[in-house]
Amino acid sequence: MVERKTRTVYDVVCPFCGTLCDDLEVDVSIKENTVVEVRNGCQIGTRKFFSSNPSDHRYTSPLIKEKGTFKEVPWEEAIDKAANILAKATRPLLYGFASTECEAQSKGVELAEILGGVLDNTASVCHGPSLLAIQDVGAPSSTLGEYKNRADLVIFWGSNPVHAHPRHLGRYSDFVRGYFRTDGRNDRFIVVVDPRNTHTAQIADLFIQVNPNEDYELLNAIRATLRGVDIDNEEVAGVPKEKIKELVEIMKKAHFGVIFFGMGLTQSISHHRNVDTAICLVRELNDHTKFLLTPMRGHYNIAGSNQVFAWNTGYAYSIDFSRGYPRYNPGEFSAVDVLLRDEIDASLIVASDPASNFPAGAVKNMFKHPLISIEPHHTPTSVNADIVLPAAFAGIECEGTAYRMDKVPLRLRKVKDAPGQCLTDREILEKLIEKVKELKGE
Amino acid sequence: MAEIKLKLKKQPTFPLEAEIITPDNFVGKTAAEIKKLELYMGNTVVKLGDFFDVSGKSTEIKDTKIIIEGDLKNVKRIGEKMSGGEILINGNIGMHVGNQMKGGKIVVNGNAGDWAGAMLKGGELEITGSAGNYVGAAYRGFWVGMENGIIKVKGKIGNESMLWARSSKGAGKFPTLFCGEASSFLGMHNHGGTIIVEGNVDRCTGADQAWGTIVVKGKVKTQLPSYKKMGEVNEIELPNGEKISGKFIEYSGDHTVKKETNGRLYIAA
Repeated sequence: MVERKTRTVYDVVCPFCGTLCDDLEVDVSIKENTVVEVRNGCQIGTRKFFSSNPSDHRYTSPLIKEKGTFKEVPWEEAIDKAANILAKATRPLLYGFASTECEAQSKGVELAEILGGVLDNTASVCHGPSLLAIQDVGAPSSTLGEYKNRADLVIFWGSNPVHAHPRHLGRYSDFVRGYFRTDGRNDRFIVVVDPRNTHTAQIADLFIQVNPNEDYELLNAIRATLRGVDIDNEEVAGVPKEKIKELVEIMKKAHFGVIFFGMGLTQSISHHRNVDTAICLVRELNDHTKFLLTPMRGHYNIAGSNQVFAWNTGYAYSIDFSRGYPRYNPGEFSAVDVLLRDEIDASLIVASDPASNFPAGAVKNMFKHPLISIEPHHTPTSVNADIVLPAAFAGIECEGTAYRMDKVPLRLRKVKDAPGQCLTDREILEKLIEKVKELKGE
Repeated sequence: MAEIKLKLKKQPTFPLEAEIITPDNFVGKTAAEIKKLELYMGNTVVKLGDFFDVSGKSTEIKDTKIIIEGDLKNVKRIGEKMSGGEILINGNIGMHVGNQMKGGKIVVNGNAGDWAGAMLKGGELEITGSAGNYVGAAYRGFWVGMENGIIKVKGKIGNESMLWARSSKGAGKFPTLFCGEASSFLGMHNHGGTIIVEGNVDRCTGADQAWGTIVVKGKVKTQLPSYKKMGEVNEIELPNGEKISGKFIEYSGDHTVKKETNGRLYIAA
């Protein structure tokens, strides 16, 4: 008999973006415990699997920084020191959680509650504004399968799936054949609204180039036109009035339309008000036809962290436990704001890299105080941390649950073992909880 | 009026939550008892006396005047839900000053943080400096914001002020905001609130206004396309019956909400 060098894991869920493709096949070397091939995945997802292989960038044992250099220490010592920092803090910040599985996220909520700290996830700097808008005006949405089978008008507003969610177009929104859309791409009309002529815009049937930061005005004009009002302006946000009328007609005539919106709406100048008015537009379009919208979530389990936080505390992000019960107020308790105002005296960052994407002032204040990072590989946050707790890749080296961008939960698979002394995020947080409880005398 | 004086002794390291500082809570208490009241700082509980010197006492809410000295930019929620009396703050104040207050008066001789007078239900809030975002606004997820009372800000106010304001002509409730200048999204989702701006405003004034009156005596940076010009007027009658004279251009909107609307925006001609 021939000895097999690799084994194949089928139907693997890709832990990269919010599309959560669930058809990957991963070959793992039996002897080396490394990923050797990934089939069906996009380029970004495939690279994530390879990045889990042992390399100089991977943490394999707990580290404590002493005089500017990291020293390898046993787990017990690292947990002991980390728990001491957190338990003594008056206002600790727990942030991240987007790129790990739901069980670990719920442990994060438990730890934040015991500590009386501030708890936030990366929605705070991506689709948090969408959640604020949904609280104000609701959201008509659906699962991605419905769009695949029914949508004949697909609008990408401020999102560029060709680069950010590469398989979204092929699996759900554009090139795929559905039950009522038997001719795939030919049965769909694609509209892209973006300030830039992106690669998604280049495959669209209609591209509307909006001035940067003027999405609100354009959506506003579309809504007024849809109400039957002849607007005074000849041009709104760089788009001629005639083109706005044309778009409104296209929207009204569609059998089933959908808006996929990205950070072009949530993180341009009007933030949640862009989404607010987009949702109102969709609501009003339902007087004429069927219309829905879905946010293009970035990290694979950011939707999951919102779900987990919400079923634990009632709120999806920006939560403060300092009074013993959860309170919610983005702007007051959101990670960037508390860091900018320097209201934090210790932080625990889980599966996230705020140093790369927070404002410089916030990062500077974060580095001023003790910083603990639970992270599988080197990031600008972890290399500046005081304690690094090495984690296994959720979805590659451990199982768990993740929520797709349309809030469908999928079970992540384990394809290989974690290297060195790595533990899962959930195990690390459990150890921290146990130690903190001991220190607080609970 | 019986005066109770508070003086900030030291700056708190973390924001101090001081919703206990209202005439309602101080009435009938001696200075020593007031010093023992609890404030919250981070996940710890501290005593009012740790941060403030206290003197004076009062026996009746409407007869109480609390005078606070010091830079209180890191102190939140003073005057929350107060029903009467007066608070005078000589210095800057942090977030949520006078939020949900039902009656009485707060005067801030300085700048205020975000959510000043949020969801005001009555009374008067006066700020001599500028104020942060969400002045008189609804808190996250609430569909009814400021219901009654008056907010006066001499300087500039931040974004999304008077969010979800709601008036009631039948009940004689006319939430009103006066300010020097305003940032974006002033009077968003307005349901009857009255806003008078002495100077200029930024983008998207009166976005999604169902009904209500916004008067801008200066310039609007960019106006929403969903407002339609109606003509010029020489006098404006506010919902509470008061009148403002001067040359204004009258706009109707926001037409995203309704084709025919009672919402009005007046901009100085």
